[in-house]
Amino acid sequence: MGFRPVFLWSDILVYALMAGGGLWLCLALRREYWRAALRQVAASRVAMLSFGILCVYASLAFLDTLHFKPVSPENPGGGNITSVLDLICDSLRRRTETTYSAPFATRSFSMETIGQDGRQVRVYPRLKYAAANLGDPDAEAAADIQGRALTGLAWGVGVGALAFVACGLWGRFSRAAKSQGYLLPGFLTVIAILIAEAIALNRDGGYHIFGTDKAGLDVFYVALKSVRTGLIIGTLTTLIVTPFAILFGVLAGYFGGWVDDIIQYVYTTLSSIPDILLIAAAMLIIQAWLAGLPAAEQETVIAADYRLVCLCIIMGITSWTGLCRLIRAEVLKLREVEYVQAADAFGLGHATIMARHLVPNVMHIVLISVVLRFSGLVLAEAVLAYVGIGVDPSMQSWGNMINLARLELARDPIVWWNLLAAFVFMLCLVLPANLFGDAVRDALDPRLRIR
Amino acid sequence: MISYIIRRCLYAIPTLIGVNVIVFALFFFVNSPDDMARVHLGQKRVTPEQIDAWKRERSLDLPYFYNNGWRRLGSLAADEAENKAELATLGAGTYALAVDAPSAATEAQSCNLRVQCSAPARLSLPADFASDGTLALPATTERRRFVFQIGPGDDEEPPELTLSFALESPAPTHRVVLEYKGDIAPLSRLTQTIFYQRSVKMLFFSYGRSDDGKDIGDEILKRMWPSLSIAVPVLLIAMFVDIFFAMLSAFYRGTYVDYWGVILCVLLMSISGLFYIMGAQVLFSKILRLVPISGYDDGLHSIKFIALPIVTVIIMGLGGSIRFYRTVFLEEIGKDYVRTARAKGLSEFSVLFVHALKNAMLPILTSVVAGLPFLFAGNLLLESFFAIPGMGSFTLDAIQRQDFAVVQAMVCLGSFLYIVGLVLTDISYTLVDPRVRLE
Repeated sequence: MGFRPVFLWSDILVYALMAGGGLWLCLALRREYWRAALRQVAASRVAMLSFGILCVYASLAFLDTLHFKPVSPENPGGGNITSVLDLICDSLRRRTETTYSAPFATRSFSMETIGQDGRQVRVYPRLKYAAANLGDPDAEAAADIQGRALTGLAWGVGVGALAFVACGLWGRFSRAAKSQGYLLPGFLTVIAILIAEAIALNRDGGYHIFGTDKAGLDVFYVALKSVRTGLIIGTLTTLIVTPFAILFGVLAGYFGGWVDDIIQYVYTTLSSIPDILLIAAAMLIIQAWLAGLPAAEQETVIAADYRLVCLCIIMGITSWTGLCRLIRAEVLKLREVEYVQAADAFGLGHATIMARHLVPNVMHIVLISVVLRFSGLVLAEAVLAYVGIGVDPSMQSWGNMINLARLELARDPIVWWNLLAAFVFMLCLVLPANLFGDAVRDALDPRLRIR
Repeated sequence: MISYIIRRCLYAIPTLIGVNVIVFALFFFVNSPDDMARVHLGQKRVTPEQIDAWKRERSLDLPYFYNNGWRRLGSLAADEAENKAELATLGAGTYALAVDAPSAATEAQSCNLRVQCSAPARLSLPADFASDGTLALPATTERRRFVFQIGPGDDEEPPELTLSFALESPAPTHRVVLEYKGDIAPLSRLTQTIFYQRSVKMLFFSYGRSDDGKDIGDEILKRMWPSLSIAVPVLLIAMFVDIFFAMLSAFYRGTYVDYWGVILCVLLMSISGLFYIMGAQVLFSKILRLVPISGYDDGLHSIKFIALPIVTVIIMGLGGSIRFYRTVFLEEIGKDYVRTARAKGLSEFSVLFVHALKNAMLPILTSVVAGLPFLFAGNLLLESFFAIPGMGSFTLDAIQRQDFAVVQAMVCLGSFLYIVGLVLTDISYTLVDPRVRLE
């Protein structure tokens, strides 16, 4: 059985983003200004811890970006579009119960009427997959969960100890590693414990650690799949429109006059339309466009991907104006600085001055705004999903999870685990992103550095 | 001063017009009214007649910018091999037959068209037609249009046209439309257009009707009050709470209180507003049963309904606002006059609360003023969760029902409020801060 790689539009943009980011990092690190900023960020423990968590999220999203179609002799056209993450979580994906079940439950959440000894009784039926290896789940489940948790903990601590040893050895040779102290191995240990616990609790006949949703799908799996959606919205949105913001900001600030007037007019006009309404209007239009697509592109995954990319572009359009304004203001100042005057006196063309002397010197503003906007966008996705103008309902995202769970709040007892999973996953992404963003801003904002 | 205010208001007009043009392009050009009808009718197979009816209901069958007087009298769809219909005319005048181009999805077909008139002597068809009124059209996907006249005569009973239309493989997308060129006043040529009715009128706050037939302007006036009853208390209480905590944090700057306070703020900022609302509903209404879970009432009874939303919004904004106010205070504390005040021997408390606070209120007040117009606009999420019949839930319902007229009205109103906010900010700057000179 083979496979055929599939490149969705968002995948291509992610690869482009990674290539662009890598290139920029290589160029930036050749300059002392950026190296100093990087050192300042690296010196902050909170920032490094946050960065580590963001890396974990990013690798999950990357695994979910590697899409392919399984190809077999019987099915030469290929099956459903799958990602590497789907492959890793295959057991999670397949263990679909019939409906809701609470975290670590062995029985379904709702009662069912079944025939027993010739009588009709209403019972909570046993789950099909969770704790399937136990004879009497009510009695044995607690001990089984304990056993699995301890196994996971042991594995995690074991791997963590290895990390400590490795970091200790590395620290003997490298001063940079030593200065980090126990941060890196400690962080690795926590991650190792989490992964080991997840494996131990889910492995053969394990439990649904975040329960199951209405369709019986494992909530943990849905939350993992949502990581990619959240990260793509948080990053692509700013990066798709950032080049335009830089271009227009620099043009407006450098030339002034009527160029400035026009660009200012455009961004004042755009920013005076309320964001959510502009997104809503545009999404209504995009829905009409998607409905008219040829049938070959109507495959759910592909159509959902189009919608995701469109959403990124629209959210970007609503958010570039702020960055453009900041860059314009900075360029207005830079234009009068000696080195730009000198470049002008040397007879350099406008394009050269902008590319060589102005753009590199506004990049810190760009980086700050990209990092600081990230968390806001991840949170906005949830709101948009609630309004019904977010990503496609068939695509896993935290917003869709919350939106579906909202309807269940009226139930008694409350179905809370969908919300809990979305809450935990979002908080673990947004909080580090905010803290890391603050550290980056502190390191790069010259106004703050003087103090 | 007055001349500055007038000038500042005049500057806002081009922006308002720009917003209107963008919105018009977005709603009527990127998406033609036909597309809108298709989304709205929501079926896979929508007949052209349904689309026409939908457009006529909302007077979207008008031309975009210039009305030359042509209007549609009737149509005949090719859903069978040989289609025939009798269409009433309006008597003498100029008419046109348009063979509608099939959309790109269906293939082009050749077809036969035949026009007969109950008063054959009055009918004068163009030269393309044979003497018996038939015309064989080659296959093409372009729209074809033939203008003809019905001559003067007895219009007590206007003559009827009999149209027949034949295709090899019938498809309801192919059809013939009969149009009539009526008299139109010079001014109506501009006003009887989508652009005037749907865009220019919005500049003068005439919003038309929503899909369920209600007047949008009346609805806004009615729904403004519930939104305001939440927004105004929130604005006042939140400002005091935020400033208090921000001052506290600034007072203890550099200590653990400040450090963990800021971390707590970041934590509060990192939680989606949806969780605050749902958490508050579950905790206070479902578990503690202190207030009703949602709803609204007029007058004083509304307090029990709006108390929880007010508290929720204040907590939602707490993290971000405290952090913002804290930076404002810290910036102020670093200035020379504060050092002078300390050098005079004043206590830290009076330095902060008397000297620094007064000056820090400048950026705070202007940021509040910028938000004033939005008090009307309501909070989308909050109002829909707590079932408050305000502007926010009105907008949200419209988005979910895909009511284009209401969404467009709210976009225009929202941008108007934003621009008013900008103008108010500029004016309040000049009023409060004597250092800002008027140009």
